[in-house]
Amino acid sequence: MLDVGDNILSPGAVVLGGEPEQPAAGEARSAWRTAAGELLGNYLGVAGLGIIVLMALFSFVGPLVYHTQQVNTNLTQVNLAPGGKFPLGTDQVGYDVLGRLMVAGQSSLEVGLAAAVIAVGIGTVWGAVSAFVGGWVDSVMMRVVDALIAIPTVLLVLLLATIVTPSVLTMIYVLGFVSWIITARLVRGEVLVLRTLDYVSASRLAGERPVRIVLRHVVRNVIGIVAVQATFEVANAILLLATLSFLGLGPPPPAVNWGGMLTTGLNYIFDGYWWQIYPAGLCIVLTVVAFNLLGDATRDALDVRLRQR
Amino acid sequence: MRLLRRVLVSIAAVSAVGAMTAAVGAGAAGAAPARHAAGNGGVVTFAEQPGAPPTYIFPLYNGANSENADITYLQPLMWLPLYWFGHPTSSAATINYKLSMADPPVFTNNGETITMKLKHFAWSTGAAVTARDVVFWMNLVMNEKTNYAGYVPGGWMTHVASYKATGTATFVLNMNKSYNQTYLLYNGLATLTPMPQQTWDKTSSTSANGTYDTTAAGAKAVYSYLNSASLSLSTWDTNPLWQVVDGPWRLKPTTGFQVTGQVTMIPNKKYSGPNKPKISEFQELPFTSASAEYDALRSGTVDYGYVPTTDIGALGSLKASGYNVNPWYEWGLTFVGILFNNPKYQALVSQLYIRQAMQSLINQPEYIKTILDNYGTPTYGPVPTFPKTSFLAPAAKKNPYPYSVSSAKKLLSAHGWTIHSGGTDVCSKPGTGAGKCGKGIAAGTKLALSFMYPSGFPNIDNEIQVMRSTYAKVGIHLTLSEAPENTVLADGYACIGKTAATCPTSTPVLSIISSPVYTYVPIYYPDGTSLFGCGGATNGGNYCNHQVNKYLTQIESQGNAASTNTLHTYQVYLAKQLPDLWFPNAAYQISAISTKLKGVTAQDSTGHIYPSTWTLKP
Repeated sequence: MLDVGDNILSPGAVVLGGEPEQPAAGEARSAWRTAAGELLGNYLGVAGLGIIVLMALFSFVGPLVYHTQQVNTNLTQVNLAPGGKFPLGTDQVGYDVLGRLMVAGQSSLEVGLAAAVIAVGIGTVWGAVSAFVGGWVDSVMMRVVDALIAIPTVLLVLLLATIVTPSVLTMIYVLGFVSWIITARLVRGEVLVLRTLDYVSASRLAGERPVRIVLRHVVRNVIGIVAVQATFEVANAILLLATLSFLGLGPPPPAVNWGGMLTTGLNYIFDGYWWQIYPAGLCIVLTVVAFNLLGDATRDALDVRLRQR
Repeated sequence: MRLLRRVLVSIAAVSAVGAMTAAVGAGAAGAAPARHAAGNGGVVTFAEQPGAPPTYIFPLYNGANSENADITYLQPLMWLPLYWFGHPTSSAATINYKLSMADPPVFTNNGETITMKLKHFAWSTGAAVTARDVVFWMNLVMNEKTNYAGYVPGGWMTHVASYKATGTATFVLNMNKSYNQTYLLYNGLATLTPMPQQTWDKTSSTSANGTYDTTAAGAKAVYSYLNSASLSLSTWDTNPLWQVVDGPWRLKPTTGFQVTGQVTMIPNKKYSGPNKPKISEFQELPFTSASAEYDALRSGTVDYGYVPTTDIGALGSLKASGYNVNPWYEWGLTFVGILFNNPKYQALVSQLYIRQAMQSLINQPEYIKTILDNYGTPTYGPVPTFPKTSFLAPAAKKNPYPYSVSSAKKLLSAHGWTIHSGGTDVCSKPGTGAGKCGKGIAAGTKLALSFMYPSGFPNIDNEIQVMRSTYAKVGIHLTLSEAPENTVLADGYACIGKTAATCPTSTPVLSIISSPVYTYVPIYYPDGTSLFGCGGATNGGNYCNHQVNKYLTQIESQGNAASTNTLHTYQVYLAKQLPDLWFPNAAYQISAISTKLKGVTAQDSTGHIYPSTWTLKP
């Protein structure tokens, strides 16, 4: 059983008052194996992971199996109800909705994952540096975070989205740059605790450079929080992309994402074209819930206090 | 003319971050209209367009204050123009002498002297409407030309020699140029609006009424006072100025206007013209979104509203709940604007054959049928194809460039382009001779164009998606960008009057706003001088064709028969020249009118409404 503040990746370094030791490769693998075992023992987490894998297969492998025309519109087959030729019907310009969901899923997942990576990357470095350096640097960096938190995320996203030309790539940057704030706060809080632990103090006394201490001992010890936060950020990014598309600021055609499909479908809510609304909505809900389940399970697996066994 | 005011509004709006917050709030619930209990004659509720409440009450309005909510739904119900255009019983955008305050104008002195005799109309104070009230209007407008939406630089106002009241009911206008009579009536005399000189001729709320308008400085001071009073929206229903009307309606004192845009009007008991109001109250209700309006409509709180175009498929339930549904078309045009002075694309769009290829890839009948659910009319040239008028040349009723992918391919390949269906065509034969790409197009140039369109308009979004897809079939690549409509407008006008050297290459070369893009209101003559004439006030694409200018000059100065012939020749010529890409004209709104509301026999293409002809069945 590990104690609070244990270094998961470098268990050897957590001997309080002792010399920081380099973890044996086997020990690190063991710690990961334990966490993985915990994760796989969490049914909800496994379900979340399974849904994510299925969604990824659906989006990226699906088009290789189910061939549809997703480039040229076809006004002779608009708004057709689900049937033999079109399992989920067609949309308002004649695209096959099932095929469209697959293509849209690619954008949604790509943007969600990439934006999450950017967000947790910036947030982790920002929070770690702020907490580890402390003093006025911490004050300034945290006031920046406070100021950004005070601005509604949607407004911030809108501002950025109106400045740049929308595309999948720019959406990744925009969403990544507005989503790092919470991660920064979480990491800072964790690092404030870590920096007082003996192995960090020992590293300092041993003459290790601050950058090395942050990267080797501090950041690696907040990886659990970051991993959990990353899953939530994926879900957030997918939702924010949907919001932007809803407001007409998402990537323009021919790019498509689930949020955009949902928005377009909602225009026809009184027409009874349910196949243009529910499938896209379901994809968003399933994916977001899956990432949240995975996030919860990951947190449980990495945090010894929350482990079931 | 709506285009001009949209431009003016947007240029100011786009620079404000507030525009985006407004966009965020656009989906919020609209006003919650509370239907009053019907009194004597009943209360009729009418839905304003989403996000477009009235903002200006003074009938001498500028471009930024000329939404339908102001100039057709509000002002003409209280202050009648001298000559009324439009009809309560038909959609024809023609002069209506029966509803006009004056007899037909008499042209003498080679057409340079126009005499107008007023019929008997009275102000709500009991005083008669006189020629002096027309002089009052002229004094203000001639001294504040640039603050009037109907002013066109170099237009008829520039050629006014003098004007005066030669009697209580006779107004004489002298021009220093002979105009075509119909042209002057539709574009000039149509704008004259008598205003109550006896009560409005003042420079402040405390000044005595006088004759300030007779000097230039005085006229400007009077305008300034009335303009500021009009901009004070919260005082509209308490300011005694606006209670002096000659139309059938007036604002209900103290509760007639809310700054959110809700208007409540009551009958003007002293109204002396035709069609006296039969209902006791007329309410115009504001909405922040079409869906909010539709919710109100479905709940039965709106007598005269509209159905969002995307909900056309659900008309059955609406009809079953007691509404008749009819499309309302405006006297206007819809087109994709082409920016001719963007240096990046100038060489491409200057080639007529490229414009012809692009036009022949727009399948207007199919767009109307499938995307607009048949609630649209085609646009083939500068004169609207609907409503039918004698202005429309028989030859202009046909599409000059019918939909044909093969024709577009042939045109491009015959001019030196290597076709890449699904990709982007490349110029392989540069030069200016036959079979070459044309002047300024280098070898290897790709046929790729930027295209900006407004967000929040599902039908436009669908049309543009189809257009992109069709263009791709012949290798014309469209790079789409979506933006709030005000941004599209501002970008579409970013290079007006500029040379290619000063026009940013990032400005979209193609752009469109919501339909109709341009309405011939309050300048009703459908020649499109300001749209297509060189240096025209609303010629955002900087199209300039000297043959077009020659025609326009002839149209406004020839005799009636010759002018009509020239108009016919001109419109056929311009339709083929493609100063823009003609696009389907969607219905201004698909109106839902309660079956209890009687008397709505037609919807006026000039945008006017006639609540004084309506009755409400209990």
